[in-house]
Amino acid sequence: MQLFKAFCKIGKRRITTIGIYFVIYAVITIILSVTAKDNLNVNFQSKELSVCVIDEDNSKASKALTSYLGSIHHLVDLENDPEVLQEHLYYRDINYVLTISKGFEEKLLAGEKEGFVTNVKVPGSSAGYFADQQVTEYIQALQLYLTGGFSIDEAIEKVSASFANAGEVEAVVFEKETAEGRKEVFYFYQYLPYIFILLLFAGLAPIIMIFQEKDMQNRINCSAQKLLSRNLELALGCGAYSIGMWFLFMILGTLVYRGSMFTGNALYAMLNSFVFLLISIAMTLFLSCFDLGVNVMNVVNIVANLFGLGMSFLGGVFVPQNMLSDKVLAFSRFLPTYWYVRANNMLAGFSSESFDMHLYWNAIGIQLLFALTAFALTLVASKLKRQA
Amino acid sequence: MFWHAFYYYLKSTLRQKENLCWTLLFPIALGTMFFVAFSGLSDEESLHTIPVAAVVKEEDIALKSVLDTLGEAGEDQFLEVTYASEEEALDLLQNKEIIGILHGGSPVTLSVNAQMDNMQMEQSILSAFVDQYNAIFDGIKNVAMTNPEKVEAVIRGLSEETDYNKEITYTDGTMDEMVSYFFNLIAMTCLYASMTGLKIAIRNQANLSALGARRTLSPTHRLISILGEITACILFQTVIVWISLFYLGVILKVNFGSQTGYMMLASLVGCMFGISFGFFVGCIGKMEEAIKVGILMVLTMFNCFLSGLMVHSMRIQVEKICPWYNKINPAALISDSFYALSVFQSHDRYFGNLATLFAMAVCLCVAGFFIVRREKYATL
Repeated sequence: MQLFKAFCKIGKRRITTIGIYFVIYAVITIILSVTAKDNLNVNFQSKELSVCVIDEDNSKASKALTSYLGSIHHLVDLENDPEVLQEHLYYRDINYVLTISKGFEEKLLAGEKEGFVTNVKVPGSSAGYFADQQVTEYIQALQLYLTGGFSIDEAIEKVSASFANAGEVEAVVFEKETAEGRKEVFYFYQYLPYIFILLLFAGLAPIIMIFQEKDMQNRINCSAQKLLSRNLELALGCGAYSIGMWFLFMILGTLVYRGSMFTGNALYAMLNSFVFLLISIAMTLFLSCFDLGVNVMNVVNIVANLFGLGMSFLGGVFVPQNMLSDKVLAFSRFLPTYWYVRANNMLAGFSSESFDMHLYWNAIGIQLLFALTAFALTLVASKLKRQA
Repeated sequence: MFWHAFYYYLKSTLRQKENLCWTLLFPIALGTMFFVAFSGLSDEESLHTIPVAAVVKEEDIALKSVLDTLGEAGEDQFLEVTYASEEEALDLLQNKEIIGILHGGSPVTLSVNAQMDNMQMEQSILSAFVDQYNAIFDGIKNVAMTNPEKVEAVIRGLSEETDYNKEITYTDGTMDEMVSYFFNLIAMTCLYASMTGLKIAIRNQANLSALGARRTLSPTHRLISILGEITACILFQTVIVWISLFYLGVILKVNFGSQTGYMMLASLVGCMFGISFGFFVGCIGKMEEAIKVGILMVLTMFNCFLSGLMVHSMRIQVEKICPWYNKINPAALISDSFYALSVFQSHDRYFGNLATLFAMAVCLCVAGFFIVRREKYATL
């Protein structure tokens, strides 16, 4: 077990660097999974928008409109400064800014038809249209009662009662089998592909590369140890490092999400993450076959981020798959992250795709094929390197 | 001696082909991947015609008339209505071919598919439409019961064209939030320059490199040779970022705005910070190079993460929880400079960000130099 011992010794020397990587990426994973729910749903899921109302009229009617919007949306209190409001709109922290102009109530009573309120929204957005619709319907209803001879107080009362009694929307359930357990666990799994690629590329690849150095290779080659045994020992080292990392992340998940990590579909998500770990190992081994020049650490980090971020964005790790265009999704099918995220979305119920064990095993199988392909490419690349 | 150090640093950097290739490839390749991933994203946010099924009876004349008007083909077509029986409508809903079923009667009701979570905005818009229809219907009924003589005026009022709610904008700048990912990509490229800053520190420390040991023997003032190398490094990295900006802005046509000169200046200051940061980390402590690289990488990634590289709204979340961090986070300052240029006409915010970055860069550089300036080694 000489090679395995040497692997462990090198790993031990690099334990501080690996520890730094682990801590920071663990923090990133936790922050991402904790904040993910809002981020993933910002455009599509939330019936409750974030609306900022600036009431310049401060009348009964304007307060009634504000209160109505507050009953259906989340009202956000922000400084009335265009720069601040614009920034919150840009980052989609709020969806809509409504300014109730001075003279709002007077215009209502006078039966005027324009210039009651102004709004700022993301141009052409469905969220903006939704809020527009509700503001208009409220003002229209108020004006209807005022034209019908009611006083402003009566009109507000009637309109409020009318919207309060609005019928419930019936949600028809067609499929009995839905995702179980706490969804938050799946947000934790959602980001693991990026973290695994980064941790393995930046932590494991530099160790393997030491064994690939020319002098080291020559020294190993002239030893009495058989090729198979040498490769097995190195594989054991890589496996120990990678599974150790995976295990640490599972412990982290258990500490944060406790029992939910082991209930319902979460166990399938765990298996999914393990299969992706195999892909990350295979990719790391493949990368290690190449000579990356003098600044190995610099290049390894660049490659890690290039692959990690690129595959994550294209596969739907950071941007939900349902937001990616069909053309991008067609291309993404050739990336393992796509199948990982698709399986995770299905297990969590994030997508409209129904829970289907057949599809899950398909996704796992395809990921295993990706891993096998990468392993095969590694063997070819290392053979070519030896022959060269 | 300054120009000597400057020239030879540039020459040696340009001769490291792998490093040059990857440093240049990184923003270009990742920018291309972002571009591909985000193509077609904005469409998802905008409103499209909503397909619905309507289950109506003969007496639902008013509802049918409203649905026909809203379903008229054209640019602003709101609904795509399919009149169907209850069973047919449920089939369409189960197959996810429609967003909801409108049931006629008083009041009008809506059914949606519980498994269509990703269509909740469209479902909500339909629900608001039903609420509006019912509220108006209720209103007319109430007026008819209380003041029947006013019904005609009410109906006339409803048919008049209104413009209660006017849309305005605060700026002519872009509202495409996906551009912020490109801002953060540029910020990350600038901060990656810290790796070359680290190399400069290592090349000048006798305990970390053979070249450092040789240089320690030379009579040249260390500040002058280090400044020469740092200047060359800033030039090299800035040109890399400018090439990336050219590729993203001109070839991929990412909407960075039209203030090219200011963008180039922001890149220059960003690279200055990145290199100073790397130089400072390289100068502190007696740690191995690998550990220092690790520290730089995780700090770069963590700062980029907090400025919105992975999830664009992260910056605003940080602004809510600890706004002071956005004021000192270099990645946030660089990306915010680009944001300020592309969204606002005023340059106050832009220059504020650059001033902070520049001040931090100078402080780190001076601090780094003070750490190494009189370092002596008993043995190596």
